[in-house]
Amino acid sequence: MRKKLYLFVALFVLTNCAYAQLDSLLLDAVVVRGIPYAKYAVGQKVVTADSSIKKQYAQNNIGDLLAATNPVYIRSYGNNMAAGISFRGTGPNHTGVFWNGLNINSRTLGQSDFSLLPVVGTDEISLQYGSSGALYGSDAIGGTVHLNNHPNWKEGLTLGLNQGLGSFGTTQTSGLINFTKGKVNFKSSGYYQHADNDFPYTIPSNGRVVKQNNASYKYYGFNQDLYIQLASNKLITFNGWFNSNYREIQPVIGNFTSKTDQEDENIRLTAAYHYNSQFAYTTFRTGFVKDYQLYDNASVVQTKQIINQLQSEKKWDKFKTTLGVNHNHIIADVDSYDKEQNEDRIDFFALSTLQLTKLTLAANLRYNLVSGYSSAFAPSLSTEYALNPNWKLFGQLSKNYRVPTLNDRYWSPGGNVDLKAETSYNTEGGLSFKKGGFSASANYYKMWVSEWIIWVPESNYWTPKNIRKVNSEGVEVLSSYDVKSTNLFINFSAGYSFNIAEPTNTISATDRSLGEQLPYTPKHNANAAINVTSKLGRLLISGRYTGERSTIGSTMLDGYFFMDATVGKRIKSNIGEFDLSLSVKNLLDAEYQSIINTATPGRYYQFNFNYSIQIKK
Amino acid sequence: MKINNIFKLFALSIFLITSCSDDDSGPSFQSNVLVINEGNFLSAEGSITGFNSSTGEVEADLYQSTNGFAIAATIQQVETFENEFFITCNNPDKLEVINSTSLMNSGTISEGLATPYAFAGSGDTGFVTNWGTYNSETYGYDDPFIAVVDLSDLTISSTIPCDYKPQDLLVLGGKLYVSNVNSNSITVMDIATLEVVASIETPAGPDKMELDAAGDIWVICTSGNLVKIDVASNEVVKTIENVPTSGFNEKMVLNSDKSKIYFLSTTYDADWVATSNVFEISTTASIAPSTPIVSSASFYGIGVDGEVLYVGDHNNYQGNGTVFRYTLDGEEIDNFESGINPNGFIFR
Repeated sequence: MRKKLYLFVALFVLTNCAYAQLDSLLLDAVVVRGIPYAKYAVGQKVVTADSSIKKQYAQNNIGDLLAATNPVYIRSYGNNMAAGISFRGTGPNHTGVFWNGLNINSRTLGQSDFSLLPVVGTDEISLQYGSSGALYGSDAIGGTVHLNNHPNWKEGLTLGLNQGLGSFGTTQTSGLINFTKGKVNFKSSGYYQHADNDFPYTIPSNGRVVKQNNASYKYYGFNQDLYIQLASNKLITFNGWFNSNYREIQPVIGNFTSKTDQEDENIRLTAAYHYNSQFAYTTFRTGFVKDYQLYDNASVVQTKQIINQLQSEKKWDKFKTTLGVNHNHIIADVDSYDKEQNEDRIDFFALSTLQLTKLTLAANLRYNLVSGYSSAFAPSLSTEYALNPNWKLFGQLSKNYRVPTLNDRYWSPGGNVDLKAETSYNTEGGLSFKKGGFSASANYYKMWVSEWIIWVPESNYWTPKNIRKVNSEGVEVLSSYDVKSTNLFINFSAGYSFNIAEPTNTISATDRSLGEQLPYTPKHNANAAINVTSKLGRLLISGRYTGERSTIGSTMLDGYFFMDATVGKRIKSNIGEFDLSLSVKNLLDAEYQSIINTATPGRYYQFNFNYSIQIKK
Repeated sequence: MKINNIFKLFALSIFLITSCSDDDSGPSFQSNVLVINEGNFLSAEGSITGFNSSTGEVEADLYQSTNGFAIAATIQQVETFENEFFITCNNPDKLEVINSTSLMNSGTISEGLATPYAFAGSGDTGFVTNWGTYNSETYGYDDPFIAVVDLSDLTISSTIPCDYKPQDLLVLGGKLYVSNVNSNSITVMDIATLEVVASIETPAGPDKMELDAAGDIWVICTSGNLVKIDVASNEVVKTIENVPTSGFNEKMVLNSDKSKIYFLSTTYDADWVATSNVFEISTTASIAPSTPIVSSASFYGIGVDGEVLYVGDHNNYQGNGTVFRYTLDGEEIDNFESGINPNGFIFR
């Protein structure tokens, strides 16, 4: 299969080269910005965190940031401990996480631990709502998270330094060098954060207040970006991200003896060549991802991936189409597997969109092959229709899939190489309104997930099977209102989501889950934020309500309100720019548990000092 | 413009959403059967389900509704002693003591234990077997011991280091019997002096111990043997071989008049398909039973109350379990929902 693939790739490249010779016109400049395939994601909401929110959550992880501003539920096993995302009623392995176009979900677990994704580690954080398997492949069922880096073409040298201090012995230091000369942009940044994380909490049984034990963590990382604009229509990009994390694993409430810890190391490298010829806009991307985890000094999980993507986009007046192929070679070295395991995953995709005056249509298609066992097909049809300049209708029909994880296939004992990909049929539709500074949207979605993989004790060990069926449906309402004047900018935003996610079959004679909301999946989520920026400074208040959730044992965890507030001020001077901010987290001192019997901190504080200077040459 | 305003109103209303939660009002009826739900290890979600066998009423999480807080641990066992239940828990390691009538918490030992498993009491003294500290490199437990508890103030007064993993405890005639499940012996200690006074040789893996009507100790061994010990001579006087056991944390109970032994075994066929069986054997029998009373793939705990057999089913470890009630001939009477992994029963 690999041979065929490379033949295909070779043909693709040759065709492009042949056309390139004809290229004599001045073509559209190549610009790298935003999430990949955004223009084919017709009718889908994408929410990108703005810089003030990124600053507000600078000492937190991306999960904390997303939960503050979107109806996602982060299943966090403590304060900055292992955290999986639940979006639209689906599980953590039903949300794809992409870094500069590469799926960085763990290949062994099929999900991302958001506590290993610090906010400071990436330029831009976006959340795309809903299924988009045709665009992004496996895992894109509930939604997709996109972490992207982009060039800063501001000529000259920019230096930045950030020092953060926070409660529970938290310190963070980060720095940035951005250098642009002509067609070359070079950007290096690094960060280090440490926290004792010994926040106080109350033991419910005796009312005693104790400090959280065994929960300290430290992480550091580097980013290296390089952009070379060879010509206005030719761009080379390079991005690298190294992240190292050590943590003690926060034990359950009342466990004062646990000493378990975990080390993680992630290396992500990608280089791309963008070439906009007369024939087509072609991108070739190559990437390398290495994930390493050492659990409690005993068990090693290591995967390496080599990823190659080739795609070409052709534009006509109202119609554009992209054809592409993606090859992912995975090498897994995991203590719990019998041997080193190799897997190849190949995706072919064809995306197209037609833009008429009022109507936009998109038809996207992806075909996935995994070495030796499975194939999946993900088509989607979506549309947007402008009723008038203010109102728009949108809708989507799609089929999506999730490839079984390496653990599902190769865990010894129990791994099941005969698993099929999970499949889901999705539909959504809604309307949006936009006038002046006000925008709002409301939509309904429903998905039917089948072949959902569950580990069951079939024998003396557990084995995964394609046995669960789940329906998830819900409503989301988002709104945002901007007020702008010369010296004042105010944004109000608010969102609400309602979700029902229930199994629709029974998997054993004593299965009681039929018609019950899935565990750790709130039915109600609401969030609201005010962001005021004036000459005096800035003020951000964000709040959210997370509805009650059931645990695996059907205990209901109470719903709770959670608020963060930040005041900040930027001072420009001729020796550089200073930015000071103070955040109060959990302003209401809410007592809540995201996972049962896991302590969370009450009200706490974060302080940030940022200095940056531009040296023009 | 009107709709615009509605949206704005909606945005504001988000700030005003409030939540209500039901107050815990305590148990509303008397349960004569308590189901011990182990919980699953990582989420420490052990609980006690109440069941009234005359009305069929079920109440989940009695400990929580009585005390206003959850037990918040994985429950290994519950032992009755002097009007109190002693609950051994791990993750976190603790010993919870609750009144056997009201279920009100009367004390907790939360420090000094390491993977506690079984409890036994004698006068003002309690004993707790501790497997020791988990070692992630050997997947075993280091430094096993028995904690000696002063029950008057619920403190650990001393610890007795063990050579082998101590599993079950039994108090009889001023002596403490400790089954060394990683070995082939039962250690006998004098409770007054805490000195070892005898060691009883058994087949490999002595696990659960129970006293029969004649005052003899029955021990189920993980190696597939059921033995009877004469406590006067401290010797095994009967060995029933080829008993289908589970090989780990054996579950064995006696009926009300202590003339019949019931045990649970989970075994696997050549294709590793699990079968859980409940067997009955009379204390006068000398060959292993071959026909189970009831079978399933996911039984986890057993209990016998009068003429009723209670069996806890773990539901493939997917959320809450089920308790099946059978006649002693194996006919199902009814069933009800338990908490996670029902591993035992208390009848009161």
